[in-house]
Amino acid sequence: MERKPGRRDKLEIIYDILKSIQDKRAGKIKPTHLMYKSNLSHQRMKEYVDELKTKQMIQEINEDGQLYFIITDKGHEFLANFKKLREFTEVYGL
Amino acid sequence: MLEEIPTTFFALNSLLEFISVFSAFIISYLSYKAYKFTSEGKYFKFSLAFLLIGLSFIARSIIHSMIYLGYREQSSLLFQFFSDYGILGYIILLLTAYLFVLITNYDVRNKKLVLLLFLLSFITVFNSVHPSLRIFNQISIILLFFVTINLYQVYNSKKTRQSLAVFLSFGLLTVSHVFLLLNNYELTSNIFQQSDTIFGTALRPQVDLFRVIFYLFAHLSQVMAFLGLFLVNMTFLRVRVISKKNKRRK
Repeated sequence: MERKPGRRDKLEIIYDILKSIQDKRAGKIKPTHLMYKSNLSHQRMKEYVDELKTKQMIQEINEDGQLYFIITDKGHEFLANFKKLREFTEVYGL
Repeated sequence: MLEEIPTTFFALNSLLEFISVFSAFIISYLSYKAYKFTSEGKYFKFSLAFLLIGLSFIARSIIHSMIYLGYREQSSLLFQFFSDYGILGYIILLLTAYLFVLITNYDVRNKKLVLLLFLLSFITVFNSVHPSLRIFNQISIILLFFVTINLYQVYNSKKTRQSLAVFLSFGLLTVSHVFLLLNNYELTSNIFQQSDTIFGTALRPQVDLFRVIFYLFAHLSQVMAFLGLFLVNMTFLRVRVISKKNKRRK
């Protein structure tokens, strides 16, 4: 089924979240920055963050009382394979 | 009719079917990987569909291997058992798989609609006169035809070699069921009788010959379809292996 143009699916949203964390110079991002970078509402971002934490693709760390998210090896693996995974799902019409 | 086909064909076909099995399992694996990352049900259903396709081909491959090994001539109970339940398993697995492919391709999320599709397909196949392979092939053609239309639209928007290969492969898979349908004696005889006005009765004695040809074409188109999918999938797998090697180097 053709996707509506401009509308991101779950695979792309996960990619955007992980890429936002990876692109940060220190390799860590504050929750508010992640919300803006990944273009999600607070509620939606919380849902995705919880899921990614369960899947061990991101990790929560606390530095000087400030909460940050960092990307794990599993998260890096997803980013490395995203393009091919995207192509795979697209050519099979998924 | 199977008696007229050289037994070496079944040996060759069993070997070639392993390409189809392998190819189906790769698709299943890649789709499962997508499911593991996203937890989206459509990837799981698609993965399950190709797992079932692989298993159905294994069931058929066992029967073909047994024919090659001469179990059919011995009229053994073992062959009878595999022949009866193997075909039944093949129909159930493949029909379920095609339905899952259709559901994921058209993104059908309504559970009642999914149930309706399953009920209509299974009741039609299993309420038909035995053997139900004829109706099964007709239903398969309809399901695969709609999947192929969708994949054509994907190809039209992407215009990539991979999307073309997937579209053509599903087209060939549909064609293989058309050949399997033509393999039916009554149907082919009927078509040949209808063509009497054009060819006279010349074609009538050739019914069995044509059925053998249709049977061979059916298997050939199926193997070609999965060979196409296999080549497409190798491009996805290759990159995965390279990325893992790089990770190890780090």
